[in-house]
Amino acid sequence: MNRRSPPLLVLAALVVSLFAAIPLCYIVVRAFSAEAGVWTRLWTGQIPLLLLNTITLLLATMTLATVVGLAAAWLVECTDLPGRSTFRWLLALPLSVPAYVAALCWIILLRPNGLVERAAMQIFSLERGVLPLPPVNSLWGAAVIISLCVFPYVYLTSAAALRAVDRSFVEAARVSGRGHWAVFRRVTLPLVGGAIGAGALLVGLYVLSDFGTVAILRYRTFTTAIYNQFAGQIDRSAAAILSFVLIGLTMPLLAGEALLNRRSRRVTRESAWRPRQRIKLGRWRWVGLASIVLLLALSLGVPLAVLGGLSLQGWLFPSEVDRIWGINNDGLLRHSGNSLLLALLSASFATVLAFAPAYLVARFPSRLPLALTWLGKTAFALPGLIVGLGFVMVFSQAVPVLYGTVFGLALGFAFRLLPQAIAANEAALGRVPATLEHAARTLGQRAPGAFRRVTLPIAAPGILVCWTLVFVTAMKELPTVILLRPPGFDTLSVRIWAAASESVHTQAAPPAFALIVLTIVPLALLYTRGRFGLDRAID
Amino acid sequence: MNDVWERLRLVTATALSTVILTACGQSAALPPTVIPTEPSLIAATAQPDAAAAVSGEVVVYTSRAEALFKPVIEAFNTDYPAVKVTLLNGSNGELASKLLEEQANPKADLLINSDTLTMESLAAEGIFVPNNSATVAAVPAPLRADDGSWTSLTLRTRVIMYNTDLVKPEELPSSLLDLTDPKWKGQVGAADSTNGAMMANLVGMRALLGEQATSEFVQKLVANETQFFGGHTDVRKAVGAGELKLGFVNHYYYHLSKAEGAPVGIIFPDQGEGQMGVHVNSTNAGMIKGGPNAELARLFIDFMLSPEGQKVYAEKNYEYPVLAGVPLAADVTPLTDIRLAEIELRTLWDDIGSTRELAQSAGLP
Repeated sequence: MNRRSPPLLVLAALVVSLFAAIPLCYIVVRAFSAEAGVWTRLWTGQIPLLLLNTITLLLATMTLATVVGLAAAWLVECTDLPGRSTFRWLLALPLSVPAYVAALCWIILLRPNGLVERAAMQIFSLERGVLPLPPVNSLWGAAVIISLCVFPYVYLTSAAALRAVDRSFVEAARVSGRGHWAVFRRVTLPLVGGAIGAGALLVGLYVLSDFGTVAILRYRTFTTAIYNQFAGQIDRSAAAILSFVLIGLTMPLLAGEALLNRRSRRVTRESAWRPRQRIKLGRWRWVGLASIVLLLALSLGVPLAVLGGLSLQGWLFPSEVDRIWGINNDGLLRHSGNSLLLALLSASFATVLAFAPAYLVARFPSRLPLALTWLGKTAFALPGLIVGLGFVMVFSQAVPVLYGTVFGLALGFAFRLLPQAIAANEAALGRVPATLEHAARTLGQRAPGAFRRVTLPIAAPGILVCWTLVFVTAMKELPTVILLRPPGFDTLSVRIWAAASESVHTQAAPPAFALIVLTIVPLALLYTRGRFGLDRAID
Repeated sequence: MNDVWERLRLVTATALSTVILTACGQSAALPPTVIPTEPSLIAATAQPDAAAAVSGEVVVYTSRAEALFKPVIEAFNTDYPAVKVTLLNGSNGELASKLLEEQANPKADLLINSDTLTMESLAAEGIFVPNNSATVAAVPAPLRADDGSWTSLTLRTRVIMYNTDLVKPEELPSSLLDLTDPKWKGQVGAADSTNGAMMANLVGMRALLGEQATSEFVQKLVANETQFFGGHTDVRKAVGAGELKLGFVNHYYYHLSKAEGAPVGIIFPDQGEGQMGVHVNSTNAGMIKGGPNAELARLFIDFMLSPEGQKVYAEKNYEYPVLAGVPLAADVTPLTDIRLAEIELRTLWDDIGSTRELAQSAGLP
């Protein structure tokens, strides 16, 4: 069998990855063509503070999300927590709440003269300002809110890894006289460490690229500073320089992710797997149950209740229509349609575009393909703002036909989402044993035929999962669509942003509610019906 | 008949504007010259039958808050029901960048923003196309490009608003420089460097007080824990809700809060002898070179400058019309009653880059 990578496949992967690297090249060129004065002004001015702010937020969020995600995964996968088979998929659903929407909800609730304070003033007849309110616009506000939205990254990876741990290891350690805690620390944790780390790094990459949340919470990080530089002036070199520094921050995370991904493949054994024995929590079960319920209430319940409640209020009471629906009262359906159309198109483009690089890596993991996918993945760490800008440049100058069209927007989006699609497709295609393809080839199929008739059908459920995940991310995406949308093509996320940036937070409620509802349905279907490793027998 | 009446109204308006601008020209920045307008050149904007037949789409990039722009579009659409105004919202610089990026392949017909300096910078980059419309020519010369490629639509003053529940009349600041007083620590809201009006204000301040004083002003604002926001709506809401005591805003934000029933008051700063006076900025419309629907763009500009369009801006948004003779909304202090800063903002466009550097080096986010 020919083990060299097929040249056509390499070419396709090359084209796709180079396209995805456009924003990167754009930034590097812009940053280095900037005058030296701009560099010095930024290095002595903003950058130290931005580094401090960004890194503290990064560490705080990674820690919080990892602790929460891992604890949730352990409770669901390793203990006799009541209702675990339901929590198992419910805990993935906070992914449908964009962090910037969660930030809006907490602001509506906790700002001075917000819902909570006014309720407290009425119920306990308090004076204004007496009730101590947690400061939302702060490092901890941002860290907690983002963690509540992204802990599922850690939860999903660690739950899958915990499930995959071979029972015999645990049994051997127990037989040798170790207690539950010691077994967890000495056996389980080393086995699933890679997966937890991978989840934590995903959280980290998310934090670095997040723009909407920190902008709404007015916490200054690199992304908001880039936006300020970009939005305040015509010259882009300052924005490019800041982006360049931000890319520098993301590189170690990306490298770490790649490393852990390769390592974690070595620890799981498929064939000897048996469901693990659950730890009896006794009375602590109820504490566990309460914490999971609290976690879900904060991450999912609060946004749904606040946004749903406000939308309903605006709909039921005509006097409230202008306050709540305001600038959105004539287009919710149209904006939902636009969001759906865009997400459908871009998820499909991204899934198809990801085939070549993902297949190449899954089948021929030599240096070139790995480098190519890595290049394709860097876009994930870039602020969507920069990705958008890079594509504005390319489309408006190289392919003016595409520029300013929905199709062009979807294509730009697809490249923005490509890294996610490559990672998911890689997993799906990697699960198909190469021997099956070889068998098809010996039976006379050519490579494309073998791929179409053997690989694709077997990998189909995984590819569908990939598509759904990209779809959900596309629905939530904010900065790219702000930049690339054609005039008149507003999506739900753009409407939320418009309301938030004009500080009419309540008017963001209807589009935000619609957005969550539209993404939670495919996610729930995915995790209840899909074959994402979650449907394995549960004892 | 209708036609004649309309012309008569416009002629009166032009004449009135000459008188009023001459009057305020002595105290204000606006020179008293007004391009004389041939009445016969003024197109009759509202001919119901012809207007209804005009159809198509006009694409507008705008940095104006949607709520403030919507009323005039609605008024336009009652006259021209078949013309669709498609909006793309964004911040001032964001849209300017986008227009530059799209220069070879323009998608927009109009840019409507709220900063004079950006308009002049973009005009220098060749983004706009000359417009010989008579309604534009009727706008006082300092408030438009010489070739009509962009024109001001309305004026606004830079003021301090305050929460009347939290600030006693005797402790009110009387100058912008008072905002740096430690007694207001953490109690002042202002816009950040992405905001065109804020930056233009600093450009004007630098022209009057010098580089050193402006830099110190920003440094002290930052040191005083001033809260900086992307726009002024945030500021006015925070002042209205009592989260902040003072806000450094455009005058109509005070009126918008007042209309909502918020406990707010307004101060025109720096009115004393030897002080710099109140800064004025404009909202503007520019015709994009190569835009797909130039005719409709011109029509929309003409409408916004017509007495009807100007009245919407004045009444709904509490702004100052550029067309004299259009009455101000109740409670809006006439410009003639305010001591205005003696600068012509338009001529300072080249200072924006260096002023931004100055402000950002001084710590303005």
